[in-house]
Amino acid sequence: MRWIVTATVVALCACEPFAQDVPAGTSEAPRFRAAQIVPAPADPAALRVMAWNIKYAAGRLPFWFDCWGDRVQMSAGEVHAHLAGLTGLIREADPDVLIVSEIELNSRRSAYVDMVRAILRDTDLNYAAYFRTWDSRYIPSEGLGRMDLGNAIFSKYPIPKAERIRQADRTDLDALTEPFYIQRAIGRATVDLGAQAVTVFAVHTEAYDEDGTKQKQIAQIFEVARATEGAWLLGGDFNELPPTALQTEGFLDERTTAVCGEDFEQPPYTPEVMAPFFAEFAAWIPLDRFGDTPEAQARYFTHTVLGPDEVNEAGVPGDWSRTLDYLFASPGTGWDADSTDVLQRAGQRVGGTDWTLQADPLRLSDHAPVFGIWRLR
Amino acid sequence: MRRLCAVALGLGLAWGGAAQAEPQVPRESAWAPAEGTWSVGVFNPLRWQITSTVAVEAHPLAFLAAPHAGVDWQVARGQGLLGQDWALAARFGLAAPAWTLRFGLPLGLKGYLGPSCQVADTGEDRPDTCQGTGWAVAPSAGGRFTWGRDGLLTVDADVAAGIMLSGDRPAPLDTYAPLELAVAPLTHGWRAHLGLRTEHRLAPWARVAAELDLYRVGDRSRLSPWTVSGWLGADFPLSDGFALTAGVIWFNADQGAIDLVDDGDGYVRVARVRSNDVYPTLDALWTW
Repeated sequence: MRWIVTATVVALCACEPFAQDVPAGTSEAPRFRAAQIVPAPADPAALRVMAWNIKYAAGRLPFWFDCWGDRVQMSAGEVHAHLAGLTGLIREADPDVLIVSEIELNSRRSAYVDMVRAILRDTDLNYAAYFRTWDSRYIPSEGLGRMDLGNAIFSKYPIPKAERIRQADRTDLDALTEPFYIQRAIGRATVDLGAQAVTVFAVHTEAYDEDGTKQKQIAQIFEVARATEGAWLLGGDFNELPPTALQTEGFLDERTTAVCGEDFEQPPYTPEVMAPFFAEFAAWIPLDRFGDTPEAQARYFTHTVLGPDEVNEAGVPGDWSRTLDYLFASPGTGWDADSTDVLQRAGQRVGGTDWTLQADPLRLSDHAPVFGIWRLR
Repeated sequence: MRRLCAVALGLGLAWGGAAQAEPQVPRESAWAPAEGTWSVGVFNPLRWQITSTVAVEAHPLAFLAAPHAGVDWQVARGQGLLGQDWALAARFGLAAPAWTLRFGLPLGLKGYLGPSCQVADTGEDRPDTCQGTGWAVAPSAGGRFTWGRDGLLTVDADVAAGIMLSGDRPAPLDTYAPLELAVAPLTHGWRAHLGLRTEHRLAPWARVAAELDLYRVGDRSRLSPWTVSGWLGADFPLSDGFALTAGVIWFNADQGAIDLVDDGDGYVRVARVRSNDVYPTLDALWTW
């Protein structure tokens, strides 16, 4: 019976803190290696690269913050089934470098499955760096519990160095929520190709702030990338529209009636903050290719909250609704224009290549992978 | 906060040391106080000794979140077992542990420890997404054997099972051990406990006690079902009707923690580790 007494003071005096603070500034990030190393071509002139927000292997399960369902937890079977779909697409794309957002190492909602290990085990990628952004022992919200989420960079080539660069935190959270909230960070890894090394960045910026945090984070990403010497690659979920986006509100996967409260309402987008990236860096899809009609731009949408097997309040099935994910490379490097694309649906031809996509990204995550062949010289 | 707890503990010890009062019947033993005795603490249970052998008890604070009641029945006692008095008690209880996950504040913690299911509440056709909690009752039964009076040894064993009356059994919380154990009959299906306690009267104004407990819960989580706890503390009777209790409790449990272990060349691997937590236990006890 004494544990009933103790429960009242547990939260105040436990040894492991509620949540681990992401170190300020720059700190070392953990690096992982596959049990079996698959040899990669030496000194490549080009790399197949892909960036993908994998929604912690939740597939199309409607989690509560999406406001289209109430799920809070998955079984290990569900997570492994979703991971099988994710790694199937990764094997099909066969990237040399893969940038992943929303990957989990040890979270209750994803049955404590180590997704970094799973991807290393089930693909030809040999090395990984993990950039933890959300590390809480127990989050008392919807029964979330333990959370260990972050971004990751996978590579066929060794990663001798990986760092986490702290980003600005939200300032519009109440004192009770703030200690448990996600702390964004830029992941930076050095990938050793043999004759040269390249820098790879993994990013995922804030989604729900009302205080300009996302804009600060995007500006920091731009400055960090611009200050980097040598060849570099930047990818991830920016939670921001491209500067020429025609539709900036009223997306088909947004609710018209509030269900989940204000915490997960989409604040207005500010597409102009992405303009410097397109102006100064090598974008995998240039702005002129995004087009100036809704139909043309829809071809490059990368996100939808609502899956294809669900309908919105008007009865319209979910489909990709906006572009939030990007790949950029350092000036002086470039992309094989025929290769770059958004992997939206099964049966599509990828870019101008002969590759016909077999996997169905619309059912694997709420984000589509962005893909291209990055030419280093 | 830890310093604050330590200060509170220190004050409690100083206050207790200054008191001169008669000892009370040892708590958490098979011995029973006089018929008609009531006792309650801020966190310890409200207990009423109905007869010389039967008592009922419930935690007033915990009752709001999970209604429950227990019965202690001293079934036998004797003398001369290795020169000491002894007593044996049977213990039974009944709880409604789902309450706390089914109701929001102030009656429960729906939306905090479990899902709020706001979309399901709209009546929309979104099947199978609400992982809500059904109704359940949790009967418990156990026994307690105490050997000795001033220096006593108590062995305690009990088991509780959560029986679903409707709806789904919620997933284990995988949280701090005290809370996990409290709701384990509901979330894990059952909880078994074996405890060993020794207590000694140092002076009329102080009794010290130590306890070691082992818990096992049902296999519904990927985490280890075993928890170990140890407690060291003292009661300081300040008068016939009032005592302070202070101590420290340690839990060793699997709460899903990991370490990243360096393989020697800069690359790491995930290693699962058990959590060790130490908490103060402080309370004021009234008896009349």
